[in-house]
Amino acid sequence: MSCLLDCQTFCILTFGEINEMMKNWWKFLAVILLTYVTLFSLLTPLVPGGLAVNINEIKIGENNIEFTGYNTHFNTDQANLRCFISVGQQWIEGKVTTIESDAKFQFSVNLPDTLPSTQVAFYAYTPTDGAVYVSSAVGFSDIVIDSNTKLPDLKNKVSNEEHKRWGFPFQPILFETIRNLMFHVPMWFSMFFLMGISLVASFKVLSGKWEQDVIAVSSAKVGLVFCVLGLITGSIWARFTWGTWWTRDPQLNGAMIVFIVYAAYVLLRNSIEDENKRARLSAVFNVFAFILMILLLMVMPRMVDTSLHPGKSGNPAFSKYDLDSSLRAVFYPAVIGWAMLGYWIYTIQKKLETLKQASHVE
Amino acid sequence: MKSQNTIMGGLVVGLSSSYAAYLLNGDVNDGTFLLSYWCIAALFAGVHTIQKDQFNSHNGSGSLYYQLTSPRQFATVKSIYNGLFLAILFLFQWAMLLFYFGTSWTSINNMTTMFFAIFLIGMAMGTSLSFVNGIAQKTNQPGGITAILSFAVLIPVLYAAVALMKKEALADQGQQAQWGWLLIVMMNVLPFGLSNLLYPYLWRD
Repeated sequence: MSCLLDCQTFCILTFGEINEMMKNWWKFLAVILLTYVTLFSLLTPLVPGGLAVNINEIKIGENNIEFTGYNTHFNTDQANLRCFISVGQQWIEGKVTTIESDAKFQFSVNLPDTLPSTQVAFYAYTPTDGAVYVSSAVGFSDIVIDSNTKLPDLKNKVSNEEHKRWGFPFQPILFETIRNLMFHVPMWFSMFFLMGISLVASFKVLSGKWEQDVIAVSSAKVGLVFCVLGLITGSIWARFTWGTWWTRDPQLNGAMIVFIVYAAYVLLRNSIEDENKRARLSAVFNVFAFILMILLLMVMPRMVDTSLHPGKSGNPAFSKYDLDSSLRAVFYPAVIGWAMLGYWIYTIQKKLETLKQASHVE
Repeated sequence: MKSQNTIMGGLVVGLSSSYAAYLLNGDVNDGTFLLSYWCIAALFAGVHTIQKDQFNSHNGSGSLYYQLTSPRQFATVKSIYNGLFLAILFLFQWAMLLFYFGTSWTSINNMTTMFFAIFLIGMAMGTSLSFVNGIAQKTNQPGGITAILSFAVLIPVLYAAVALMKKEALADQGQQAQWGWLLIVMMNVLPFGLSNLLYPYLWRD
């Protein structure tokens, strides 16, 4: 009998816990998503790419060129390694002379006295890596440029596919820092999400539902944390890609202003003791802050022609790079995962704020 | 409390001035230096004017106004009055700057747009600070809160003002100004619109 009761108690407790866990399914999902995002964003290799060539000027006759690749397999696949120079839409094949490593080889190429274009790119091809290239600005020594020039056709053409392996896009300047996309951009999405919750709650406060104030402040505070994280991750990214921690960019200045405005919102709240008054005053300022945030981060940067920031002033956003969808496969879960984490922190913060208000602890 | 207000006020002016100098690229040559000077003078004038023009005047006359009109109308009148006052004051400051330092350091493309830019900057600062002051007057520390919130709303105004003035007064070709016009217009419309919409909630009591 006693054993039966113990078993029943155990079942009730277990099912109770399972029931409780089921209510928090989204927290488990957030953990799974962020684990996936962290692992894949850090462990996914970059696809092969061309890093550099050691030539500034090409001349008539033989040119010796050193080609440096990244994540390439020149040595491993040396039997199939081929190299080319593209001139406009036409091709000249070179001859591999020395292979130093998987990432470096030398080749020579004979150039005629007339070329059809000034647009020159250096290609290396292996079946493993596909075609990788370096598009480099080079000078022309004694070579005449004539757009009517017809170069001899290649004997054995190769596929122009860039790569066949799974990996993040290889982008000059960005290189390995492209992984920061999974951390930097979702911070801003999460911030918008949380500030949106705060805005809705503020409207409710203004319509007389004072209890919504705790939602407004909790979500705004967590949103502010995500704003700081966005600024920090952006600053680190800028250091590695632009060479500076901060630059005079409208997107960056706008983000900093948003931070200041929301910091003022928190300071405003801390300065008012009366709960109802605090709720109303901060709700009014919150509406102002949110509209200003949209203006500064979503509208204004798109009107500027001189922004360095991707997606602004003609700089391509990542959707253009992401032809093989490898970034999307991690980026979208990252946005959802970070937003869910933000929401999770917000629920904890809300409990804390409720306790504070109940106990009148500042 | 008074000393706290003084410190906060000083902090606002100090930080805003530093930010103005930062936005002007930190070059203290003739044009940018004098433009910085004008911005700082405008800031002093704006903050000081709004601090003096409190929604609740000390002698209690503010409550008399509410007997006559609604919070919405009161906010509208205050915003327009302060905005126009600062716009005229800024134009006057600009005229004084030209009077003392001549016109050789400027390179004005179009006098009408220049005039319009200064007018909008004044109006934006007036309406923004009135909006902030309206909130701050309902707290226990209006001076301190005005200082804190002023800093937050003045930065976007300053940001737009510097871009517009660099473009209009110094003919800086590298300066993009379309976003500056949008921002300064929004800094007029946003506080003014929100004052009208939300002050009835704010000033219920």
